[in-house]
Amino acid sequence: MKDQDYELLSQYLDAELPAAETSELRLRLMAEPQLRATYDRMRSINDDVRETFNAPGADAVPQRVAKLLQSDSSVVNRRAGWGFAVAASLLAATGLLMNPEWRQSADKPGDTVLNVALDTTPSRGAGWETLSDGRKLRPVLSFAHRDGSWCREYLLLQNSQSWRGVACRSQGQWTNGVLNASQALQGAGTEYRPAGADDVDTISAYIATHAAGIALSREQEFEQIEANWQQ
Amino acid sequence: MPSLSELQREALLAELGGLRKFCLSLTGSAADADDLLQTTVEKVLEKGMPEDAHPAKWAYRICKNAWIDELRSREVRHRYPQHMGHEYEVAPSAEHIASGERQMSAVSDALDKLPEDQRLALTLVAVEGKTYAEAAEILEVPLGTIMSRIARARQNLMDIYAPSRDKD
Repeated sequence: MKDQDYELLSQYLDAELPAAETSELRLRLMAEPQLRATYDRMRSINDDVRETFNAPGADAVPQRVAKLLQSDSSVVNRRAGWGFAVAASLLAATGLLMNPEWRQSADKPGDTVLNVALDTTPSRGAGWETLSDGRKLRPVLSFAHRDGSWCREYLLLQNSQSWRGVACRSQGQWTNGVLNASQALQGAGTEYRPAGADDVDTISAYIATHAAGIALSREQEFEQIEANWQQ
Repeated sequence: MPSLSELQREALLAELGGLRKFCLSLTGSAADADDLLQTTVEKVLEKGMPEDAHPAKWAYRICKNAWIDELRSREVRHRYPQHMGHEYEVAPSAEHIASGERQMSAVSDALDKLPEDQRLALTLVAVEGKTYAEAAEILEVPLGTIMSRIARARQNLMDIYAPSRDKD
């Protein structure tokens, strides 16, 4: 058989052969037993290849890989798709006006509750960890700072107020590197939108500027939690 | 630092299953496929993606390049078919696993003997169901090249592939 015939059969098998040539080939397949036998063999092998790598489990994606791409799980700009912003502002501008008591203590050793929670709570894509003082925490990712310390991006809810921040660990304490005041969506306790999402994304900018690499995988983060962030 | 938009991220998430199959067909090993998939995702996140890029095609291209890099880094290629069900949601029977492993071994052995460009082209079309045009875009070669590579791959497989399982 000619190489050209193999190409015709292959394109026919993949439904890539133009209609006119398809008609001609079908006539030949009926008239030429050797061509027909070659096509049948080619199709059988193709079926084996396709079935082998489409078997159950072949498309099973490890959680550690999916986690890399899940929202809020890696060091990327993830605000572009959020088309609306809620009224809020950067803590640097209005945080003192909001005057959240926890914030005043978060930067000093006194806020033991938040410090312990950041030490021990795994990152998650949804839901909240209720702290002993009633606040709700959702760490969303962890990453290594260029200076060698560990940092965590997190969301915090207190009453009707919410914040998104990045805290980095130094001498056993988590200190906020950046903190945005935001607003939880009304009527949807698990929803969250950042402040000024379309305008100034200081969280992403902070991470992009200070992260040494991509976010920790779930397993890597677990190892750090187990090691009390000492590795 | 490069970044991905939310839409790009979602598109990639939706494509991960197909990419995993592609990785499996290239590596012939579940563990290696997982590693290749992770490397691919990490590279996409690290390098970012142009706004006008098609996320799935971009990811396949990154995956292909990562695999070629891996091959180049190996002096000897070892592809031992492994139990690919370690993360099955539904555990298959032992008999099914054995049968699947035998077939995977036979198919992988045959694919191993193909030139890598033929293997990549065939895999994208026969396993992933890509059109010739899509495969050409992913592999960055002309359409005619894809046609001839796939035909040559099949022609070669007819000489080297021996089914190892009993067909129903």
